[in-house]
Amino acid sequence: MTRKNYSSKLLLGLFVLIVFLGVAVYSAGRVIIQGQTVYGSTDLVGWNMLIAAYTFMALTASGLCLTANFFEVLEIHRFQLLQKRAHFLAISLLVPALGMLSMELGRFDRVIYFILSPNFSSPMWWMGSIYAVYLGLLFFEFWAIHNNYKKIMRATSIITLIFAVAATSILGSIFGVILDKTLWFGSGTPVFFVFSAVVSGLAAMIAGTILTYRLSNQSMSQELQQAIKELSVILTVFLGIALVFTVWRLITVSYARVPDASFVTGSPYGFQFWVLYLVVGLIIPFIILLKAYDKEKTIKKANHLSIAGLMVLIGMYVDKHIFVISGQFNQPFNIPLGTYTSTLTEWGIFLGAIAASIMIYLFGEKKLRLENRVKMKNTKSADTPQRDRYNDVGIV
Amino acid sequence: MKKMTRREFLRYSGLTGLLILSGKGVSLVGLADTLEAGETQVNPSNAKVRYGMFIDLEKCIGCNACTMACIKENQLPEGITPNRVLKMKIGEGDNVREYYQPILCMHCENPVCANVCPVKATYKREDGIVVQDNTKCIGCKYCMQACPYRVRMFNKKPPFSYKKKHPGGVHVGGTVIKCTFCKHRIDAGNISTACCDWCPTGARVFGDLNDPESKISKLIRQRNGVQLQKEKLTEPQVYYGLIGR
Repeated sequence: MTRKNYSSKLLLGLFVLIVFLGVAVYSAGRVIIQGQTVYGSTDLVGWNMLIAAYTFMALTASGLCLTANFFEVLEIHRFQLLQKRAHFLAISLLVPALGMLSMELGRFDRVIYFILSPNFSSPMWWMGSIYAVYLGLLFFEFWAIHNNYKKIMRATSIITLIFAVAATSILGSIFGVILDKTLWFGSGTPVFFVFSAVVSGLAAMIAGTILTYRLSNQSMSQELQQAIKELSVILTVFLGIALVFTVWRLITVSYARVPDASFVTGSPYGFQFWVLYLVVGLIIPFIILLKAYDKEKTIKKANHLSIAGLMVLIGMYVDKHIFVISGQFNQPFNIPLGTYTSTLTEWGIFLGAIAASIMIYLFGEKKLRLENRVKMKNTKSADTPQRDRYNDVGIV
Repeated sequence: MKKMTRREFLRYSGLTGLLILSGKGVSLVGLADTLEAGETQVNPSNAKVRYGMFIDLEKCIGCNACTMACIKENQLPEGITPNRVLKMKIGEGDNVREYYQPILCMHCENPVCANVCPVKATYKREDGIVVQDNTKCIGCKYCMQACPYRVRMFNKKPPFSYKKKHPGGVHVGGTVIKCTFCKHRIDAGNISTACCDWCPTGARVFGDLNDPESKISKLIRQRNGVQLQKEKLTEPQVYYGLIGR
């Protein structure tokens, strides 16, 4: 039996992930023993950063599946290379996200009442139910992809696509139906969530794929490079739309002098909005992606794409954080504005959920052959040895 | 023992499934009862009445007796005050005048908190009182977000260790607490709330809004009682007699 040699960087990374996971377990234990006194949320700002983090992770998971299934439904076969990875990434994100959400519930042991005492007029009931079904569908579709059951894959992809859009928009409607919150209310919120999910999903797919190949010291096949390149073009366009969308959001709230808007553009979230969301999350990745290709329109530096993807993901999280928290600040009847400071426990749970996502994904990468999904037209057999399948145009 | 045939097995399985799905089975096995004793499952409310409250801001002196009465009557956990008194100002410059405005659950006719609750833990009784079943609440805080009056409080105490009995049920950690118009008193035949009983100036009056001859109905007419934040379309059932009117 040969002994595998793992790089020291990989081992260090795994150690860090395990530490984060340990911190999350400790934090969750504190919540159960001490109650939500360990959170920074108050009666005025009831939802803390875990809700923002759940929103971000759930949207990214939906975006991954939504994009992959969209290509599948439209029979754009060159993206099929990414489909299996996208689905497993979505599962890897959604399972820890739901675990994290349960830590925000005061009595997560009573979730059974979602079945025993459903309230069909509540967007949260619909969100919980649709996401539960969606997770089941994700597992089922992944199983079909893994075993290459094409007919089942085809049928399930349409259903999962519908559920991904439904789940994402219903998540937006949780905020959108609250008439009392100026920053949340409106039919635009669910649409914005779907758009945001696609952006996050594309970014996660690009960054996840490139980083996986880089960490495993493999080079990508030409088909995969082509697929990543086209995805990054789509992401560039979407970032452009996001920029226009943000500018219009700023114009409308300034024009109407919406009082709550000052929480976003001024204090306390001005820095996060202008620097972390707008510059780091949108403008810099937009420029990086525009400059990522040379004259022959081939990818110059794939690392830049993965960095751009990660920056977009940071921006998308910051956007959700600002959206969720600042929406709760304003109070009626001259009650002083709500305040919120995140606690180490919240960060511990959030980082632990991210670590769990990465570890689940790494497990899938190791055990479930995420790179080969179906036999592609004009490509060599999936059974061909790896060295032959990947050419040396590698971007690592 | 008689062996069950496949047909019988399928029949009984189907019946059991139907029973569970219809919810009847749930109440038969009393799953809710096994959690915590507290909220009365039977709704003794009277459909003919519609309870509400009138608060005369001219009479309120900001003594917070109502806050203390609420805490004592309902044995509320530390830091939870569903009934509180806000210090407000009216006028500008030299004409500025301070006054006090008590706020509590408005027991809205269209309670948005009940609409958004995913598990029907919050519901409106036939007599108009909006109540919270603390044996069902999952602590998602969606009702707190939806309420335009910010009168719902979250009990941050640990979920599995904190139980404190009070007349109307149990305060369970990790759930939301709200004003119940002292429904345990009403259900026992005492049509009054602790905050009204304790108010030294008689600024608060509780009663039946459906009865035009009730004291509350007369006061609302006399003092041109107004509802707060009517534009939120929740139709609050707490009326205020404003300053200077």
